[in-house]
Amino acid sequence: MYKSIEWDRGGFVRLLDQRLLPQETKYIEYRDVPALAAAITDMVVRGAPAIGVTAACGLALAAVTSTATDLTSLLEDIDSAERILRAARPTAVNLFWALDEVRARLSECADGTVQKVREHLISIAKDMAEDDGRINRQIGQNALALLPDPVTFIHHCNTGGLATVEYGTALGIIRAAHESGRKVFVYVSETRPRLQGARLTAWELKELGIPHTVIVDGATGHFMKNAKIDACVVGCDRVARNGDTANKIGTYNLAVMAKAHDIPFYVAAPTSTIDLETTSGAGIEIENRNPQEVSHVNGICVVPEGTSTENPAFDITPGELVTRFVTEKGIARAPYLETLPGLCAGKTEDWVQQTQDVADRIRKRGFEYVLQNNGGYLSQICSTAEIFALLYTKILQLGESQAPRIPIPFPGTPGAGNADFINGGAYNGPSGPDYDKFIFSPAHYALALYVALIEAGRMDPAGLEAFNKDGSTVELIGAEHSPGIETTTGSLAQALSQAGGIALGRRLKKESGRVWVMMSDGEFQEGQTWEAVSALAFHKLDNVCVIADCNGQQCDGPMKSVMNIEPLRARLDSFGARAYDVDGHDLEAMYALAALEPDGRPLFILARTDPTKGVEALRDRAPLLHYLRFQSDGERQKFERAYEELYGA
Amino acid sequence: MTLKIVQRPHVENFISWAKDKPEIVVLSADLTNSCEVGRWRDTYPGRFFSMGMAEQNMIGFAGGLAREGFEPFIHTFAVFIYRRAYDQLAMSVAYPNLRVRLVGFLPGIVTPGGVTHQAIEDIAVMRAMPNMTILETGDATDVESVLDVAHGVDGPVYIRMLRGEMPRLFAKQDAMQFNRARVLSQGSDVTIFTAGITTEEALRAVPALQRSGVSVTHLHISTLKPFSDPQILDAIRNAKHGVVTMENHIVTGGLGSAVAELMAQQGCGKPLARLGLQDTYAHGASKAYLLREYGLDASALISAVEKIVGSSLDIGEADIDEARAEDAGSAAKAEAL
Repeated sequence: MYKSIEWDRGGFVRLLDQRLLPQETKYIEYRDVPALAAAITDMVVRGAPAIGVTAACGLALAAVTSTATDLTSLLEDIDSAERILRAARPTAVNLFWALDEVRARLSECADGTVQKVREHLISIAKDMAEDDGRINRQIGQNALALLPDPVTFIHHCNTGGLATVEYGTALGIIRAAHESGRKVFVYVSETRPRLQGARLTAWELKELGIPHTVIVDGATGHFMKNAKIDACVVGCDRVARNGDTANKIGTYNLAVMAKAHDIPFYVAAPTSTIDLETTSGAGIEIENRNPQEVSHVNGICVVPEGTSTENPAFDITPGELVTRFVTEKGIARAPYLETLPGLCAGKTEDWVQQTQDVADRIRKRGFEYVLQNNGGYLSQICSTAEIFALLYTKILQLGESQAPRIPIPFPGTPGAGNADFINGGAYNGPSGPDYDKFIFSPAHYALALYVALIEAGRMDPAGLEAFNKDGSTVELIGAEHSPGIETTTGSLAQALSQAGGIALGRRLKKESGRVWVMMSDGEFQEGQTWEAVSALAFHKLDNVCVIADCNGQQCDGPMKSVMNIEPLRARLDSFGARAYDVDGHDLEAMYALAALEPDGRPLFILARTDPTKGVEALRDRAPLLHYLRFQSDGERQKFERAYEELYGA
Repeated sequence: MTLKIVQRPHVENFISWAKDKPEIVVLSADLTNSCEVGRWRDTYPGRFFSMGMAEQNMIGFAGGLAREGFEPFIHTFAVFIYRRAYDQLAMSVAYPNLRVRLVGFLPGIVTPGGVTHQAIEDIAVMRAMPNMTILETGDATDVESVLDVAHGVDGPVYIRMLRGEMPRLFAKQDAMQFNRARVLSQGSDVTIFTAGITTEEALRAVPALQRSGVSVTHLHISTLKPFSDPQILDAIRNAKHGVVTMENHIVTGGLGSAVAELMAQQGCGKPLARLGLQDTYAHGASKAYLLREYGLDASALISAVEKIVGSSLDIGEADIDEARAEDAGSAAKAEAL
């Protein structure tokens, strides 16, 4: 496989000459800093991440070629090399970021010997090159949550292994989609004037065996209108704090066009390209390159002599046109002034860790309970721990619980004259125009819900002692007298219709709160579900949001062996719903979908989950995962050991 | 007997009744004009929701709307309410005791639509559903006043509704009352309970019976669940020879069963004749034809009374008031589905 940059053990830098691709694959060796800086300026190497790593190699090269014998002289040589490298190109922030990063890490051995500093600089450059590949792969993985299957992209410029050290950023997303088994097709915009799309991206896609076609920059609107494009993906040279994005000229046009066609516009951004010091795009210098790049094609002047041409290499896409930034640390959504600093601070937003903690505790408490109870609905807890944690800590806008912390005994069924009855929805807080409603559909997940209520602080842990006990409301398959359950849905597939009625009522009352429905995938086998989807779409009830635990399991075994419902997303889309597939254990990716602005269609988040997540011992029971009933003492002990391994005795 | 005939009373009555009740909404499953709410829809377009041919979902939507403080009046044929969406009715509406009004048209054999359209066991099914109230209309006054009765019930209500052309048997101001039968005759020999369209048939027969010297108590039942009106038990106790029920429904689970249960529970040991569909489906034909075929008309009632009193009353067809012929040119034709 090709590599754009390599530090050779012989003490020099090797670059793939990208100006010659695709006709010629030629590597050039650089043995001094001015030549290497010129290679950046002349675009032998280009692409923000690649330039950054090249600059880091440049400092290593400065140290190796320096004749200094004392540390002070060596550092002076490094300083002067840095000045040369900094002037090579103005727009991409990675160049400056990389140089700053090297300087910062150099201070770690400020009192070292000349030899030590040399070795240290080389290892930093190598680390950065390695990090680059790792970061890019992570960006690709993170983006998968946003991508359907099959998926058709428009991609601008070149953001692949050539623009980076390896794998690529936006092209890395395409690669990750391809490697995930999705059916991928890419429209490659040629990217005038230097044709990085036509020359480099097409070359890389060909090498990778990913189907694609090259179109002229001016054709992108045509294809957005007439082909089914799922996403625009681009890289970036610098992102300002507010999300304004400097990238290859033409990116802005593409973003406006994507907005006009309601196509998501994703920017792949290693956090090293996010420049929090620059508050908006106005602060980003745009490199103007030689006008001859525009006026001349293959050395032939294509404009009348004397015609003026301009050649800005980059443009600024306003942050509001960017649907998501995909970074190695997670996915950022607007408002970027808040979310980008959080991502860059190294921590994904605090809520992610906190919510994951809640999910982990749900799984632990559920597992513990199932062991105590000698069996139970464990796989449902494994698959939905993140879903419930996310609903109760991040998505649902709920007030304080209005119910007793320890559930009351069964008060009789609802009916005229039963004043003792408490609806289980009281655990989800009071009703109010701005509060969300939570409608829980798969009543067999009751244990998971009860455990989630405990971990969300809405029910006392002691409440679980009444689970499945005579005379209790904490029933095995709950109904609307059970904690957290607002509607009676145990025969499955009835919640969505009821939620539709609630949502319609709320719309008539002009309430802003939404109606969230948690469903299981088996419910999509019922005809009523599809009646409901039709009605939600027909009546444009976009205040209904569904998060479905698609664990692929049902009572008789794997759904595919019982009654297939796939392709679920396409089915829902064809009914007029707005459906997305997402990793049901990825909190940020699920939240990104939950935060989508309503657009007139009911939202379906298809959380693809693993029913054995976190409890690998369950896998031995596949394909029968619906209810865990220990078949022998040996099996029971195996699960006890698994629990101890996970959580201690 | 000269009957005042009324055309489509529900149409205008429901519109004026709902005028100052913004919580009233209507859900329809593609039978809007058939259920006489086309003009209602045009009058209150923001309160009318077309749900398509998808009754299970419609029931769920109604439950959700009721939870939000609305009072949905589902309008469709009765069969599509209780047969097609029974689980939804039980779980999404009845268990939570929601204020949903299930206005079921084409009860029993009033339609030539045949087995698919004739709701013949709806009362039996609905009586078995906890929290459900069951009302039945027998004339234009019932059709007009059933709305107030349903509106006053804190829970789901199933209404056996009439449409199109119908008689006004009871004075307009003599409104239907919840759980209170209308006493149409009082006597001591035989007690007759009728409901819905069978009351009109009984009214043809009762004068002839009386002329023959049979003293008749006749009650028109409009609340089938609950079934605790003390007038009913009194009427049973006062019947010297026995009791006859006549219902536009199978005899199991409906009015006849309700009376039988009451008699058994109260130890009223006397004969009971139950007229109605005898464990059979009906088929597509005119109402008059089917009433006669299945023994639901005035002659059948007279025969039943004869058996109860143990003697032939010698009443011929000529002695019975003439049956009302429906106007075949009426805008409310029975065959309009």
